[in-house]
Parts: sequence; C-alpha cells; structure tokens
Amino acid sequence: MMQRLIAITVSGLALATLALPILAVPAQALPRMTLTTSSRCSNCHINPQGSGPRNAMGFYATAANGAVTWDKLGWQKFHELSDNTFFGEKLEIGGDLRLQMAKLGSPRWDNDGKLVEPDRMFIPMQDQVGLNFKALPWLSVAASFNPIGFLKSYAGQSLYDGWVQIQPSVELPRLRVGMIQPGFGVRYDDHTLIIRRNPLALGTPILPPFYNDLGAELAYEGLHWLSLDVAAVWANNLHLANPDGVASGKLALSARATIYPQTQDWGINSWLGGSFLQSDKLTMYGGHVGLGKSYWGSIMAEAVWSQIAFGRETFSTLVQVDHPLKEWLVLTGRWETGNGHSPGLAEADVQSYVAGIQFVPVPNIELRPEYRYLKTSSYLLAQYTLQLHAWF
Amino acid sequence: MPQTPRQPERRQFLLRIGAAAGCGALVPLLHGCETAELYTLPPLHVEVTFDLAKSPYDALKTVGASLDVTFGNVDGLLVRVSDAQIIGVTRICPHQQGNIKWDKAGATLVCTTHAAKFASNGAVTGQPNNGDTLTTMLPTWAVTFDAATGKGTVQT
Repeated sequence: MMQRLIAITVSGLALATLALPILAVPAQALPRMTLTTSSRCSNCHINPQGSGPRNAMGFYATAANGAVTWDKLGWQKFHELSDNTFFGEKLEIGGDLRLQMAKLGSPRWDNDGKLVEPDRMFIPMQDQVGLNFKALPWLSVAASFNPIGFLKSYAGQSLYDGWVQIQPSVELPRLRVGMIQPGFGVRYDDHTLIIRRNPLALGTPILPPFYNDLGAELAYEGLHWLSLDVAAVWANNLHLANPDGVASGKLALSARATIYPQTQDWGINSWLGGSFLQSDKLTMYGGHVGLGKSYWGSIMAEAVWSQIAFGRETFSTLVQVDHPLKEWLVLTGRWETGNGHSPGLAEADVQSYVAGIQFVPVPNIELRPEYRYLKTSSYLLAQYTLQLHAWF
Repeated sequence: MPQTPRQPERRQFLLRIGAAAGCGALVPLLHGCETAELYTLPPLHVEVTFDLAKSPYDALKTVGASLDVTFGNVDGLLVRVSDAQIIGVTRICPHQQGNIKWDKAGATLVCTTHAAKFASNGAVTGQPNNGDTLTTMLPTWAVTFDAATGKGTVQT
C-alpha cells in the first residue's frame, strides 16, 4: 500500500511540477455529470462544491472509462488502479492537471496598420494535488495545492485551499471552516468562460478560477431535491480581483439555493437555483437551470448580474449542451453573451460560441479539441483550441 | 475452408483507435476556419498642427491642462506639462484598455480602471491596483511646441 501511496503522490507532484511554467488558471468540475447521473458534486470530488481532485467514488467512477482501457494496452497495473484511498479509506489523494493550447488576448493593429493576431500558447490552467483525511466519521480535513497560483495569472487566484469539515451525518448540515470559495452559481471546468468575468475587460474575472478566501460555509444537502449553502469570508482575494468594488478585509457573504426536480418515469434530472454574493460595493445575483438524462446528455443555462456601486454593471448568460455518443466521447456546444457598462468606458457587448469534443482516449486522460468564435464590440477571433486533461 | 469469425473486441478496439485519429484530424481541419477581424480603424501616421489661439487647443493655454483628441484613428491625450512643453499620449491603457487621464495634482498619467500610472514619456511609474504587473509603456506621440507663438505639431 505504501508503494502505491508513494507512486500516486510522486506522479501527482510530477504532473503538478510539469505544468508550472507560463500563465495559468485552475479549471473546475463538469456540471454535466450532475445532470446525467443525478448526483451532487460532493459525491465525486473532495471539494463538496466540485472542482479538482476526486474522492474515492469519483476516482472509481472514471477509472475504467476510456476508448481504450489500460489492460488492452498491456498496462494491467494501471487498469487495476481503481482506488485512491489509504489507511482503511481514511485518506483520499487526488490530482488534476489541465493544459490548454489557445490564442490568448485580442488581435491588434501594429504601427504599420497591419492586423496582428495573438500568439498561440500552451497554458497550464489547473495543476492541483489534494487530499482528504477523514479523522472521524463526522470530522475531516482537506487541502489542495495549486502551484500555478504562483504565476498570479489572475488577481485574486489562490495557491491553495483547505478546510476542516464537520458533518455528523449526510442528512445533517455540513460546516466547513478554512480557505474556501463562497458558493455562487455553477462551477465549470473552463476558465475562459465569460459568465464569471467582467465583459468590459475580458481578461478580468469577477470570481477568478480557484478563488478562495478565509471563512466558513454552512451547507445542507440532506434532502435529495434540495441543497442550500451560505458562506461568510474575509474578502482579501476578492478585493484583489475587484479592487474598485471590494475593500480589503471586508466581509463577503454568499447564499445559494438549488432544487433538483426529477421525473422517475422519464429518468430526467434537473436543477434550478439562484445565488447571491455581496461584499462592500460589489453585488452579484445569479440564476442557473439544467436538464439532463443518462445517455442523452444535458442542457444548462446560467445568468449572472453584477454591479459595483460606482456605476459598473455587467450581465452575462451561458447556455451549454452536452451529448454523449459514448461514455468516452461527448459532443459539446456553448453559447455565451456578456454586456457591461461603466463610467468612462465604451459599452461592452461580447458573444462567444464554442463547439467541441470531450474525448477520453484512455482512462483518466481527456483531450478536448474545440472551435471557438469570440466576437466583441471591437474585434472577432475564431480559433481552434485543444485541452489536455489528466487526473488521478 | 471455414472463415475465422471477426472478433468483436478487436473491431471495437479498431473503432476506438479510429475515433482517436478522427479527433486528432479535427485540429488541422479547424485550422482553416480560423479568422481575426478588428472593428477599429487601423492607426494612421499623421501630422497634425495646432494653435493654442484656436479651439479646441485653447484648452491647453494653462499649465496642467489636458485635452482629449483623436488623431490618425487613435484616441489620445495632449497635456500642457509646463510652459514650454506639451506631451501627447494614446488614451488607451496598455494594461486592460482602460481610459487614461491626466492627474494634474500628481502631475502624472493615470488609468481610470486600475490606477496604473505613467510618466510623461510613457514609462510605467505605478502598477495596476489589481495585482497585475505591467511592463508595456504607454504609447506616446512626438510633439513640437513653440511657447512664444503657441503653435506646434503632433506626429502619430
């Protein structure tokens, strides 16, 4: 067992180190899965809000999903690796690496009036290793380290998260205290989404990927049709992301409620919810809705409105459709809009269309070729991109 | 001679390898669909003459005054930094394209979005307040000015 622990930890750290170089932002979970499998993010991820390293269930669920499984390639030991727990399932270890090849930024005129496209580059988006230790049936301690946070690609991005969790049983509320992200809307796996960004400056997220602040969260998922969470954090990183709207050290409060209507006969799962976040001069409201069915796929939509008291206002929407051809081959399409106005700036109007394929050639490795079409008030950029995602 | 039945597992394996190759082939295919457009006019190299006796340049008669202008398709800012000197800079911050204003009290150019500061030669003198590190200078224009006649030129 110790050999396996060392092997997993070393390979995880190697993955994490390899991905450190350039610019980076962490990615997050796949909300599609909550709609097709009728499960919560907390079922499969160490972080109950989703994103990053998997727990035992999440690890097991994907261990044999791939166009070609490891045993077919003669790697029997990899094929048999379907458990990431140690010490009698008290310790879970996971990791998540995501790289993207894309043109970042916008086209521009050079001094001679010639149009210059941004360079295509490899971007490590996520590079996270984490663990969860279940000290007692009602008490656990979890932490993850995201070395790309050193690169400070986005203001307010964290280097780590970690918390102590108290939950006497799954039917009762869960208290998390530590470095956490206050719950808001849906957490996606792609950091380029407009929905959490400021459309007036597309490089600036309002809630950065892997944003965390010190505080506490109380969540309830005791009923199969309802989840509620409220959080209060000291908004130090939120201040870095929104210096005009949030003073350092102010309290940030968030609340989110989601209901999960299901039709047993049709096997259709859905969610419908709303979110609120407020800190100093920043206020955000969000609404999310999703519909899904096993083997059919899912459709989800979200809208986020934000305001900073001096007069900046943004409104963004997202619609995403995912259709699995196979468990290891999923077609995906996304449409996003973003609008914003602020004193002294031209009004922003952004449209984004993405079509892609989530392809899992071998278990725990995903390739995602995508075609992205982004149109703003001042430019259009259409490009192909490629994501590589590996997890354990 | 009896034919050997095709093994479904082998067929499935080949099918999946084919799907992988198909996904790989998608990338170069999509390469042909790439495009980029700009909805702003390209910058032109122009020379503009000004006379402080005439509007709107009369706004620059007093030291510390500034004037928003658009020359050669580019938004810019002229600033009377001293009796003898007028400077010209583009008004778009190289950080996140915020609006540049002249802070008369601090005698510096400041972005209204994240408060990045620039010297009159475009050098970064204060970093954006969102934690980013900015190294790109604010583009400047060549300005000549004769304080005696109140006339000058701007080259973009």
